[in-house]
Order: sequence, then C-alpha cells, then structure tokens
Amino acid sequence: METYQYSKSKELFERAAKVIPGGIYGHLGPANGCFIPKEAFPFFSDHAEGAYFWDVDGNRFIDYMCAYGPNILGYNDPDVDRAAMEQAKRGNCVVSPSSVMIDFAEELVSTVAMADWAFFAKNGGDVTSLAIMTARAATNRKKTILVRGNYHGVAPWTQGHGCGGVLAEELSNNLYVDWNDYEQVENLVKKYPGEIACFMSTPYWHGNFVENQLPAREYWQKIRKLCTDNGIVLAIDDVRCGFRLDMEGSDHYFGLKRISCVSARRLRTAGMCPRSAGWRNCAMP
Amino acid sequence: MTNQTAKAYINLNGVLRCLPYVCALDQPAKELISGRNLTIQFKVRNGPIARLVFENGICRFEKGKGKSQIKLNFSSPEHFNRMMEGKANPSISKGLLKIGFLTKEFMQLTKRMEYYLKPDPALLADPSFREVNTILTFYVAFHSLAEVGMHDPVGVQVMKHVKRGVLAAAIEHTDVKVMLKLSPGSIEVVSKDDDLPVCRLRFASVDKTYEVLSGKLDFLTAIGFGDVRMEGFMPVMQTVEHILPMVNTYLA
Repeated sequence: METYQYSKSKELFERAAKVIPGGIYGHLGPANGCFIPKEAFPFFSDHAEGAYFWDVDGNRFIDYMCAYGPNILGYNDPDVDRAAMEQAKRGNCVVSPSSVMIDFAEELVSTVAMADWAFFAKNGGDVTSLAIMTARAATNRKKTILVRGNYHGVAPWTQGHGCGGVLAEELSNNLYVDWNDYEQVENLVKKYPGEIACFMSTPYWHGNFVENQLPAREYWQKIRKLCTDNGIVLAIDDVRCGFRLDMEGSDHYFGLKRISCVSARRLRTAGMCPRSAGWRNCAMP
Repeated sequence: MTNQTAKAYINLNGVLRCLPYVCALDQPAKELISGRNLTIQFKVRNGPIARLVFENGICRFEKGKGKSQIKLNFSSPEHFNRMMEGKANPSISKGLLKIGFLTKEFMQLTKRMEYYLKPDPALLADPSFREVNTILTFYVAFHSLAEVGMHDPVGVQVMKHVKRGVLAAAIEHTDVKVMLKLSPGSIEVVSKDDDLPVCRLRFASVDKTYEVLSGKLDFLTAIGFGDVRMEGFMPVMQTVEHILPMVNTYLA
C-alpha cells in the first residue's frame, strides 16, 4: 500500500526549528501532539475545505479533530466566511465595539437556557480565569475545587505541579478530586467549611488518552445541591463541550438550574471571528 | 529552588550510584579497584543510606545499610552535600585502618568520575571521551530523576497521582538503558528484566543523546526530528517529562 510522504513538512520543520521553540510548539506539534511515529503525521497544512485539509505535500486528510473543536461547520463555510469578511471590511479591531456584539449577545442569551448575560473574550482560558475571579469576589473565599486532569487553559492556576515556571503558591488554593466522584467533593466541602469559592469542572470527562465519559446518574444534581447548600459557585467549563450535548448548554442537558457561570469558546458565527464567550445568570451562587 | 534533602538523595543515589559505570567504562578506574575487596557505607542522618561494594575488580551500588569495612557518617543532608562539593569531610565510624583506600584510590575514582561528568570542554571534541561522558550523564540523569520524584517537594506532588507503569529510557545501538517504575507516590529504578515497559523513550544515538543532554538540541525539537522517540502509554511518559527538567536544577 502506498502511504503518504511528508518531505516538504520535514523541510519546513527544519526551517521552523531554527526560529521557533520546538519547531511547532504546543499540542499542534509532534512532541506534545504525540505524533507517534512522527513520520506518519503531516506537520504543516496548506489549505482546507469542508471536512478536509491538505498538507504542504498535497496529502488530503479528514479533520476528525474539527481543528481541536471549533470547526463544527467545516473549513471555509461560505455563509460564515461571507459574514466575517463583510464585518472585516466595515472595520477590523476598531476602538469601539460594533453593534454586532449586541446581536451576538442576544443570540447567545436566547439560545443558552441559563444565560442572562454574554461576555466575550479572546480564548477559553481567559473565561475560566474570569469565572474563578468572579467566584472569589462573590464569595470572598479563596479555594477552588478542580477535577484532576481537566483542562481549563494555560494560566498558572490551571497547571499541575511540576510545570516549569508554575509556583506552588499559585496552586495553593486548588483542591483536587477525581472525575465523577461526588464523595470526594463532599469530603472537601466538609473539610474546608466556608473556604471554598468555586467548584469548576467540564460537564463530561474528556481527558487525554481516555474515552469521553458522561457522569454518573444524578452526579450533577448532587453537586448542584451541595454547592447551593454551602454557598459555593458552580462553574461548568463548556469551552470544549458547548453545543455538543445540547444547544441550550450542557447544564441544560443535565437538567440543572441556575448554573453560575459557563463558558464556550471559538464560536464562529456570522460576523464574528472565533472568540470565547462567557455567560451567567445573575444569581451567585 | 533546590531542597537539601532531595539533593543528598540525588548526590548519593543518582551521582555516586553511577560510580560502578565509571569503573566499567574507564580503564584507569578499573585499574584502581583491581584486587580491592571492601565496602564503603554512606549514612546521612535524615537522609539516604547506601553502600559501594568493590569486589573482584567490579564496583556495585546497593541502597540501604549492611556489612561494610568502612562506614562514613554525615550529620545532615547539608553535610553530605558539602562533602560532595569538596568542602567537608565525613565522620568515619569504622575503617580507620583502611583510610588509605579512601584517601587514595577512592579519591582518584571520584576524580575520574568528575573528569567525565564535569569535563574540560576541549575533551568533548574527542568522540570516545564524549561517548563515555554521554553515557554517564544519561545514567546520572535518569537515576537522579527517581530521587527528584521521591524527595523534591514539587516532585512528590507530581508523583501523587501518576499512572502506574514502567518507562524504559534507552540509547539506540547501545545497551544503555534505565527502567523507571512508577506508581502513585513512588518512582524507582528497577533492573532491566523486572518489568515490561508500558512506554519507551529512545534516543537515536549517543551523539543525539549528547546534544539533548548538553542542551545543544532541545527535547521537543529532537522529538520532531525523530532524534528522540516516544512510544507507548503517554501518561507515564508525561510524568517523567515533568520531572526531568527539575533534575537539571540539582545537577547544574
């Protein structure tokens, strides 16, 4: 069987390695992206259309990754691109926001069941950090319960021990539980009465190197009640899960009410560049 | 941000642990231990204990205390670390009559080790010297890695929730290999035949290993070029990737 060849990718990587750390850094690169073996992966794309992309050697691929999430309508979707171009021509990075921001916020608030407001940011990590800050401000507490292995961005508080440049002090208010283990959450709430500002988790488990996993029946209902009873802000990170389970929000899928803060990223809708959005109802917690 | 206790464990179980490799790879070192049969115990209060056994022209390292002809005591991890820097002497509780071995052969052995591990840069132009330097550095780095995981405060945090499995780190086309066994709260070097690895970290050659360990080629780029290959169960690999840079802090 004839397999794809990647000579141009290799050539470009040699150029890249001279001027870019690691050649291609982060999860798009061969190291963190776990290209095993690296000879079987394209390093650089040339163009994309619909569900496909082509690498610099002319090999065609189906992008099952949807560009790591946002490209649910495919590449170069004509409606999306036309609307984006129209807005760009009207003014790009203008000092004042466009009125389209209101249209977009109204669209999100009417679509997402729990949303009262919409808030835009440049990536998911900014929104999860904002959620933590909001929870701390609302409760005047310091600690956050996080699910071990969940991804909430690249800010120091989201990283694990041992990541270069991350101080123990930056993680000192993080408490960790295993996914889907209500008792662990309950035990921490008992152990730190009046100290926990926020419980943050993705709505379902999508860890690295494991299959996605839904929570146990009634898990979220029990967590919701525990948070409400103890004045803890419940933050569901829908950055990667948004619109997968339910167009009205993952919290809606699980039948939750009054989620305090949810975020979704890389929304690519008519007239908006890929961005993140946060929305919340006004009640805390 | 080094911790003195962790440093003592690294100095004994990571650095001195590799003296047997010096004795195996370096002809002058081999000659120094020829015909010498004795054991030196290093006991660090609130720190590690281990022995170097010299027997029939072979040197081996054993963790823990045991029958020894020479016993060296250190009042604290700091004391031991100062001795490793040549700034302090041990207390000898046994073996005063054999002190000649300590002051002559053993001192020369440690100098042979230093000759390879802290080399004159000009020597590295010689391929055969560079090969020994690289192999010894590789052994020191991966043995020290286990000590960082067990004794450095951050390393201990990293190890709390690791996945279980054995990682094999090796240099291709040689028999140089270190196996690390990980489980929650534990990481240790195991013998080559103890367990089947769940993941492998393979350096393409001695030269590429030298480039990576000396910082001339960064680890991520080396993976992109195929000079370092990862395969198998990645969660175990990622733990080692987190701890490996911390080893540099102690050995620098």
